[in-house]
Amino acid sequence: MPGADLDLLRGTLDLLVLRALAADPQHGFGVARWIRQVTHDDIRIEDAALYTSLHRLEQRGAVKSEWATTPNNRRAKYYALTPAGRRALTQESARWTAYAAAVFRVLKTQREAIRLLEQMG
Amino acid sequence: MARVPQFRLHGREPAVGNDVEAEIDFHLTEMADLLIAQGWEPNAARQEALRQFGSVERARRVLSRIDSQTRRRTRRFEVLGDLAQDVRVGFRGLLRQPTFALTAVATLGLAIGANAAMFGIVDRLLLRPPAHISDPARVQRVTVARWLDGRLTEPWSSISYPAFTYLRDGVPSFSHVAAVDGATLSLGLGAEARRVRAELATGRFFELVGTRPALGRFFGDQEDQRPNGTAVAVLSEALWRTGFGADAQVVGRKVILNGRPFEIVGVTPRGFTGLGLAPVDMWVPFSAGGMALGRAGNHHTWTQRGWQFIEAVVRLAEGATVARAAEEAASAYQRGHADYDEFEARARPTLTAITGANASADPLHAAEARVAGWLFGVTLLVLLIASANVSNLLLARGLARRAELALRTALGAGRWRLGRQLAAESGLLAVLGAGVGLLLAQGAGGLARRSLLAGTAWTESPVNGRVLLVTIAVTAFAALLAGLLPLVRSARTDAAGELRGSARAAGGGSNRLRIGLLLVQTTLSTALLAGAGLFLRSVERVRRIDLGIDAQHALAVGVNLTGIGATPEQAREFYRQAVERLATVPGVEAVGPIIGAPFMSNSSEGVRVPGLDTMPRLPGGGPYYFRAGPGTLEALGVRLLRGRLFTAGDRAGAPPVAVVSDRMARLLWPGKDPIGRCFVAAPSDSAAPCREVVGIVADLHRQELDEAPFMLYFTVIDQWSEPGVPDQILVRAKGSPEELIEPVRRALLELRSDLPYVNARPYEEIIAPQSRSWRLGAAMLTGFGTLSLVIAAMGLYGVLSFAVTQRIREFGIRTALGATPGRLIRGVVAGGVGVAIAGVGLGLVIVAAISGRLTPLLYRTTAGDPLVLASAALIVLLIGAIASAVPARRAARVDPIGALRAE
Repeated sequence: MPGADLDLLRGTLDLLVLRALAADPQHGFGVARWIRQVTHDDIRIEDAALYTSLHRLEQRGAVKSEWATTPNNRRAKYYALTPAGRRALTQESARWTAYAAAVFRVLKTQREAIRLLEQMG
Repeated sequence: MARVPQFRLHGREPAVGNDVEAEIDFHLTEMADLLIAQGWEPNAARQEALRQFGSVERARRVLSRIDSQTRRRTRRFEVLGDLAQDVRVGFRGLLRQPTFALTAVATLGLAIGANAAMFGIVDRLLLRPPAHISDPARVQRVTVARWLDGRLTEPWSSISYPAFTYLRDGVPSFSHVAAVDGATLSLGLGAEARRVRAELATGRFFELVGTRPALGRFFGDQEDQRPNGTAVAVLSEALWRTGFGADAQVVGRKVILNGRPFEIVGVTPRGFTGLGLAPVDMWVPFSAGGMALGRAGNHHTWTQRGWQFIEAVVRLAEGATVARAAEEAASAYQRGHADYDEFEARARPTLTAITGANASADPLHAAEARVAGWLFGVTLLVLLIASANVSNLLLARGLARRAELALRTALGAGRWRLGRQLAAESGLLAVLGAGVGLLLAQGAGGLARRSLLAGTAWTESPVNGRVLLVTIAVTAFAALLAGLLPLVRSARTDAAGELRGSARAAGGGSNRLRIGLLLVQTTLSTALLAGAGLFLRSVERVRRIDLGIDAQHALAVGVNLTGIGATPEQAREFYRQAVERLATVPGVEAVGPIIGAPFMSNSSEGVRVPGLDTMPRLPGGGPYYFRAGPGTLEALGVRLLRGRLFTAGDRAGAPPVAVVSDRMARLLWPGKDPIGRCFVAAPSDSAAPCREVVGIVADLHRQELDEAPFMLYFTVIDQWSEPGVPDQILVRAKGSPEELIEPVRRALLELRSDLPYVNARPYEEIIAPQSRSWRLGAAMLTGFGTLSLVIAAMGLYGVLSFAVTQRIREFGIRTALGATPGRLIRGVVAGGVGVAIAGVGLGLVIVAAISGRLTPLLYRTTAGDPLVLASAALIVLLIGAIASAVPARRAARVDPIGALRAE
């Protein structure tokens, strides 16, 4: 799936960002790299949008930020989940999974319908 | 794009834009590095990173906007969080130094408490109208000023009943006019009888007031028809509670007032005291009350324009102005008296608001209110002193903690943050002080009300909503005042200098500041003590006034017999028996009947002296007379200068005699011996005999503590032109007159068991209200003066002992170099006393500056009274010396070796 054009819903992007921060605090570049790795570049997100998402999450109190030094001695702004962010991640993942399952069921039905139509010629 | 690592201080935030910029920069750099590692050529890698990022420009804008919003939001929370943090830190700091904290809280507590208590009093006496009066601004009291020797006299609050009708019927600007007259009535009969303070009010009084009864109804115009009205009564809420057990069925019950049955028709709302501030127990219609007082037969009550005994109150009609109403009142009053005398025909009625010092027409109340106003000013001074003291304590603490503060500054604590910390500390002290203060106000305010301001009805608690509001303001003021100087001081703290040197090195300028504060304290303390001394001296002088009578041993006993249906003959007979009976009561030295009495009432009648063409006149009129019997003058304790007093032989039918005052003797028979000469009282009566002067007594007071001697004389009741019924029996007690009250009451009830209330009062009690304002001033100023002196002494002690600590090293060196302890002590004490001397000087200057305003509040004492000023100065200096001596001794005991090693 060519991802660059995929216009993700903002809620989805937020969810991905929260998930990226679930294990350890990360700077913005780290979040971007992690998303690319796990999605095998399937979902391409413009970095600007990613940062917008991070800052919005911070405003909502889901993540907090702090400047710190990276292993190769650069100053970077690190983001970490707040307890509120962790709660949001759990809730949103559950909701998104349920939503995706529903959409998938619809698509499956539709595929069967298409196959049926093709058979009938 | 390597960036120089930046060391940032906590609490300081860089601009939002820089932050976003750095973050984006970091991202692009990392991305480019990653691409380079994958084999990209550096320039291309940078281009690719930018491409993947999207619009850097737009991202910068959007992120900055979001971050700005975020910061604004979090800052709000931080302020609250920091405040809690500051308070916590401040609290811990105070706990670490409990002595400091206790001193500061106690100081502020006393001052804030004094302010709260005094405000409660001033609020009642000066600021608020009496309770339960609707639209009180339109309610006014009528007073009348008259021309005397080309000048208007002080307005007088009593007018005659006819004058009341002129105002009632002739002034369109008044919507309501009512007359009130205070009286003491006996409630119940015999041993159960008690005295109640009643107000006789004309029919539209309650309509004028505009309030609703708590129970039942008020009386109206139809129940106040001349001459006897309807015998109904309205109880005050307090009497209903204390005398009738708050009985909800009280309406309709009958009570006996001065022996006559009255029906209770209603109860007033709680706290209602009519238009004055003094407590009133019940209200009765003017006519019915007059009937109970035995005035029914007295036609002059209703018709005599010279019989001025009632107070008029009015409500202005909607839209009427005070000025216009006063004009109309003046013309109505003058029209009514046109055919009377020139005095009244030119008199000027004036209208005074019922709020403020005018709340009571009673001049005693007005004096109390004025003194209370002053005392409130004094409590503000005490607050100032206390705040200066706490400021000083905080400064001292600040100095001791300079190193700590400097260290925290170096570690990145902002000045703002440190300042807030100090502010939180002083605020915390002030709030704790306010808590202590309110407790004190509750107790002390109640005490002051009961003991010093007993003439005012206090229904509200000493700490009420308005007092709380003022206390909050006062507390904020104190916190600001106490915290401000240390704050300014700390803002100038130089971190590097503080860390290099020690606390010892610091503080020259700050000492000047602290000495300035001390100066303010000693100055104000001196002024307050001087004020207290002036009032004490007034009280002393009042106490020493020669009244011409011995009030300390006299008891006045009155019974109103008209209510129980006694005829004048029966009443006279009762009094004759009563005097005989009381003479046998153990502890009674002398007893006699009297009509009128000094400080109660008296009459005036023209006098003609054979051989004297024109009678000398004194400014206050006269001569005035009292009618007495044998034994009366002895009971009153007059001092006989020449001749004799009345004896049993001075009876009806015997040659009429008189005892005259020294003043009268000197004015009527200058240079001659008056004994054996005679004068005619009531010369208009052609049958009036010439009364022989048989005795001369020392001048005695007629009506007031502060008056010039009048011409006064005593005649014999039974030798007067018309037979009179005594209104009092005077008793002289061997010991304290209080102890005779019960025996006298019992003795009279044995004579007749259905008597109305037997009103036996020590004579002092009758005179005491007149000196209340001076006693109030003396008691309160002494209290506040002592308080401020204690506070100032603590301040002086604190500053000096701190200064000694700072100079320990110096003292050590000087001791090592051979300075004697005496010399060191003298040096320190001289510093403290020097401040005290300067403060005393300034304090005396302040007293001199306000002396013009102070003198009218005093009694025959000038604000420049040398004895008082000298004592105040001496006390402050002495306390200053003592407060300095303790730290000075410490300086002298410094161990030189230890002090030098300590650094």
